[in-house]
Amino acid sequence: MEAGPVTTVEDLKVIILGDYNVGKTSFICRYIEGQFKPHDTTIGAAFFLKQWGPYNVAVWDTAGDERYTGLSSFYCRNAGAAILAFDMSIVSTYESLWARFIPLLDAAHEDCLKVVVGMKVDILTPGTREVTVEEARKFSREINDKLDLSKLPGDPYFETSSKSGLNVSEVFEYVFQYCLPLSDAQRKTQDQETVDLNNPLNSKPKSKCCSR
Amino acid sequence: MSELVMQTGSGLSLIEWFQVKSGEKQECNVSGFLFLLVIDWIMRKATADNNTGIRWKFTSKLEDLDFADDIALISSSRQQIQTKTDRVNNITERTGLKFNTSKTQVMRIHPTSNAPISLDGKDLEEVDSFISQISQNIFKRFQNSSDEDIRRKKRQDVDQRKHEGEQSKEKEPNFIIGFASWTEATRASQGWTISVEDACSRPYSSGGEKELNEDIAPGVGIFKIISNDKANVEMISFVVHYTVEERASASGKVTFHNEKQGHKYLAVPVVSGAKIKGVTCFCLNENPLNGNPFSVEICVALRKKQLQLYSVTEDRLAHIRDVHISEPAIALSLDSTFICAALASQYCMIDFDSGNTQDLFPYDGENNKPLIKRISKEEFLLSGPSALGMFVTSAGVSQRPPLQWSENLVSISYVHPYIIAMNDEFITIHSILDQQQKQAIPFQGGTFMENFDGRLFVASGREIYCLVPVAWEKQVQALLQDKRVTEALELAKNANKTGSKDKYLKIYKRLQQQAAFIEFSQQHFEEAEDLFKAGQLDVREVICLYPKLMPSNSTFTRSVPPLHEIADIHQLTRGNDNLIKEYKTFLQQYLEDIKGSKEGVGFKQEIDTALLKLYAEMNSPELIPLIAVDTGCDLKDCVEWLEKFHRYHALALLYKYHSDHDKALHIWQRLVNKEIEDEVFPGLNFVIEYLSNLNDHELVWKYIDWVLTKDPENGVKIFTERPQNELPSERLRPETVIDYLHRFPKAVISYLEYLVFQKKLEKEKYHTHLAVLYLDTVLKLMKDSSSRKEEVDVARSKLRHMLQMSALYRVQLILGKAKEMDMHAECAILYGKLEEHDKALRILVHKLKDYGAAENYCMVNSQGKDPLYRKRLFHILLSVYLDPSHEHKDQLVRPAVELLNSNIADFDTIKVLQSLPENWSVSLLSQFLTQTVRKSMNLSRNTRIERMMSRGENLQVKQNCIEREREYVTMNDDRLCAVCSRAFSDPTFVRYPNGVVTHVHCARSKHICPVTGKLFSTKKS
Repeated sequence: MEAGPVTTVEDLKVIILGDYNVGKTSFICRYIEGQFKPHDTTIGAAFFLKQWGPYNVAVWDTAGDERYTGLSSFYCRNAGAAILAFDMSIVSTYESLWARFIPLLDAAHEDCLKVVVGMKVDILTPGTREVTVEEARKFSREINDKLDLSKLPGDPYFETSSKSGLNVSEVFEYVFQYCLPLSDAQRKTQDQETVDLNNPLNSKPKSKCCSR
Repeated sequence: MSELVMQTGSGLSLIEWFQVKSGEKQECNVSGFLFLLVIDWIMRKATADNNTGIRWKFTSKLEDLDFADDIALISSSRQQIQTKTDRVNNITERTGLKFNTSKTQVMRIHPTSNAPISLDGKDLEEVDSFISQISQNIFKRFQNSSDEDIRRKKRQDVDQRKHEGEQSKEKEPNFIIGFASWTEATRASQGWTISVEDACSRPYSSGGEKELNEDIAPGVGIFKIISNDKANVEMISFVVHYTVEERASASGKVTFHNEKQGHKYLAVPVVSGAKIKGVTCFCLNENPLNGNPFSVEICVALRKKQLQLYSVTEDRLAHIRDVHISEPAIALSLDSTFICAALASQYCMIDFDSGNTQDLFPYDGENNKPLIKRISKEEFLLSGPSALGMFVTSAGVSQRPPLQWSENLVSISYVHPYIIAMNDEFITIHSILDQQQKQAIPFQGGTFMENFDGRLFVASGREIYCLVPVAWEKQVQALLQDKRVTEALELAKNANKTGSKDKYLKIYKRLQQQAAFIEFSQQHFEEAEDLFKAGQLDVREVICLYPKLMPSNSTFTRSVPPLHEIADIHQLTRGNDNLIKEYKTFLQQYLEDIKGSKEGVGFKQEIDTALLKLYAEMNSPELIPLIAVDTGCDLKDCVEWLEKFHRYHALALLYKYHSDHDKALHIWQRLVNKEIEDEVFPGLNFVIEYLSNLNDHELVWKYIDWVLTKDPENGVKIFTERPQNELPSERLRPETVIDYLHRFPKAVISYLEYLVFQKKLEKEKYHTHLAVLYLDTVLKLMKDSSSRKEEVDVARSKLRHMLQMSALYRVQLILGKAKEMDMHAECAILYGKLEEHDKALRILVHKLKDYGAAENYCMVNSQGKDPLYRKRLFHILLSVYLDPSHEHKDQLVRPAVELLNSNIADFDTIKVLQSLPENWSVSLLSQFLTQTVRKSMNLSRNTRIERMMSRGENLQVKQNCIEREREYVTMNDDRLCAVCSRAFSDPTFVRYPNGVVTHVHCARSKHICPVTGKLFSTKKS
């Protein structure tokens, strides 16, 4: 009695880490499904496959809760890139990146790209911001000091909103550009294959019968 | 085996002969040995150099598996197995042995051919598995003879079980694996039942009450229970043998009946080698790299922080390798070279080949027992912290998201595609496909659960149950009933594909269709359409849901069993008009999509009819194209429908498509007459165009009257715009048409114009008729004082054009009328036609005073004629100008001089000078005279040059001729023609410039030498 063929072998493993309730699952959902919806607490981990040009990218969403820390390190194994998420209005989530999550990445690839991502920019006001851009930017450079990021546009730091979709796909583009550079031809087909569901100009008009 | 006489020797003296009645003699040592010798010879003989086996190792093949008289022949094709069977049979018969055909069976795995295998002319029985047979034999042998026999069987038949905590050998183990009867049927909503109700999907034949003992259900294995003594570890086996029979009662319920066959305590004294001490747990390698089918690989965890690997054969326990670990292992699982072990606080993955150890993750040792289950090749399922089921591959990573279990798991098991986990209260079932929990079955006090060849047995402290999966088809159906379409399809896709692929595809398609209707009923139209297409649904199934959309003559009935429970869309929508509209829009879109595609083949009539009805109802602009092009619509049915929705134009087009032109025209007639209305009707001109292309001329005549009364000018197009390739017909002869058209003067003119200008019919009658009609029009306009000048001019220019262009009309007739009305321009043209140029020019010059027209007249009338004719015309014109009798002759001096000065005409100077009046001054004529003198000088000089050049040429030719003639040609009897090689009999001959001499008749061309092909120019180069 054998299980069916194991899921397609991935070319890149991307893992998202961060304290609980910073919005990791929403972030991935926004990227994969293109919509924002509330999520229950992630239990253990969740898994998504994404097609990037000719590559398969496995995106692992981990649970932020402290009791899953042991598992998260297991899921970090062989990760080619990590997205470190924190809530810009709660400084403790930022600090735990350093304290809890960076050590987990020892299990990942040596040249694992670590992208620091500030979440929930849509509800951020100057009064509630607890982590400055400069501070986070500096941090993002420090943790990647062994990597050559010269070919990439800017620092591995982004401020995003899963609700509005701001910067979400940019984060992944940034990661893929580093880990799975596409040739121009591949990029072209990639662009054609990507259908922006939010942009009605690109998408086929929805048939009337489904507007219930 | 018949009539075998045997003699066996004991010591030196032979014992008496005895006769063997049947069967092999099992009590006698020698007879069995002899039999083995014979059968070994037979099998060697039969399989040598035959190459009919299966690939075993890279260089070797496996032909057969034999144990005493149980012989399994193995081949990879039907042809091979037949050959091998025949061979074995032949050789067997030579030795006096005989096959028992009724006990010989065939098992096929993924067969490409189902043709029967025959033995002695009898087709052999086909079975799904040999298990019953083999296990039966195992047990027989096991009871009768020694223990070693067991392990001779293939490893797959052997399941090793561990038993822990056994204090002494004598003590009964905590549990016994076997099979107990189970009658309670708790049917759950889907997935699994602790019941055997559905087990009838795999019926096992039972040969009746008497043979109960013979009939052993599959799944019976040998369970080796190894207990460990604290001090002295021995491998001990208990084998408890039950037969379990599945019997279907009259009510269709299946019960298991068990009977204890035997209970054997096995000491294993034969296993030699090191004694293993301090065992905490052990496991069997389910995917060993060692290819030996007669050995198993086990891994034993010892208390002294060590793992040991052994290879166990029938009589040996061979130590393979030691692996040191940091803590003692509590649980183990083994796959190829990877050991997944639970240590005191965490799991790790060990590659015993390379010795690499990889820590996986810690577990919560206090609350949860570590469990490890091998799922598939190099993939394990572990119970992780927080009751998570973690998938881990041998690489130490996870490729599936975790499962959420409950606490205190006792056992986990895997039956594709489900993970079954048991704790003390429930058995939960998760799908490996989406990692979601599918079902929970209350089950108290479970202690053990294991999958034996696809059968899941669950044991509590006292009883053993069989957990029977509902057939996947039923599971899918249940999911569909709950409208969980995606899950259902996912399950179906991953279901064990038992049976042939075709059969599976058929079932899968049907499921897709059912799913499609569920989506359909929930207005998920896009999904529904995709599924309809993927499931290759008969499109009529969808159409028939819409009342009245099927063609009335259709005999279609919905598929049985029904694919859905929808009566029609009214029932589905409960009469909600908006919804009905949405459904109709969907149908329209769906039909448009499949029309002309593969799915639509064969249902053209249904699709087109349904589309027509939908379009008609929604007043869609697509209706007309649908009908106008190739349509499969049924006429009778659609007529009613189109009338109902007042789509008259479409109806007429449909009639037209079905070549019922009369009805079509009748509808259009009513539309034009506004008796009925249809906004898409393009109007009368459409009808006219239609009639002009209609080749049913009778019908044309029927409607022509009505059309011409409505619109005589355009109506005539029916006659004038006939199709190019139409054959002339009696009914449309020009005479008939003209006669008919008398009532409509404008129409007649149009028609005649068509005949004269387009068809270019050269009949005097039409030309005259047209000319007269033009003239009449002009006359009428002229008489009518209210008519505007432009109209008159247009009419007259038309007339003039006609007069000028045509030469066929009766000139005199027109001339008479034209003269009457003083239509000078027309008269001039007519005189021109009569060659009375003087009169014509006089009219132009004197009456119209249009000198340009006069000159033009000369040019036009002399076109295509002799230049002298033109000269004559111009002279006439000049004489008209200079006519002394004309009262206004002074006015004509200027045009006359201009005519002379212009280069148009080539006047004869002398004639001109003679005709000029005396009183004209020389200066008036100086230009003309200068021109004339020059022209004449030029002419004379040119003539001289020409003459001189001709003379020169003449001289050259003469010189040439002299040169040629100077050479002489000798003609005698020896001289033969260069072409035909015959002698010259004539005095005449031909000589070419290159000296070739031929007969006159052999010289085809005087420019080409017939022998060399040389081309002689006539001119001197």
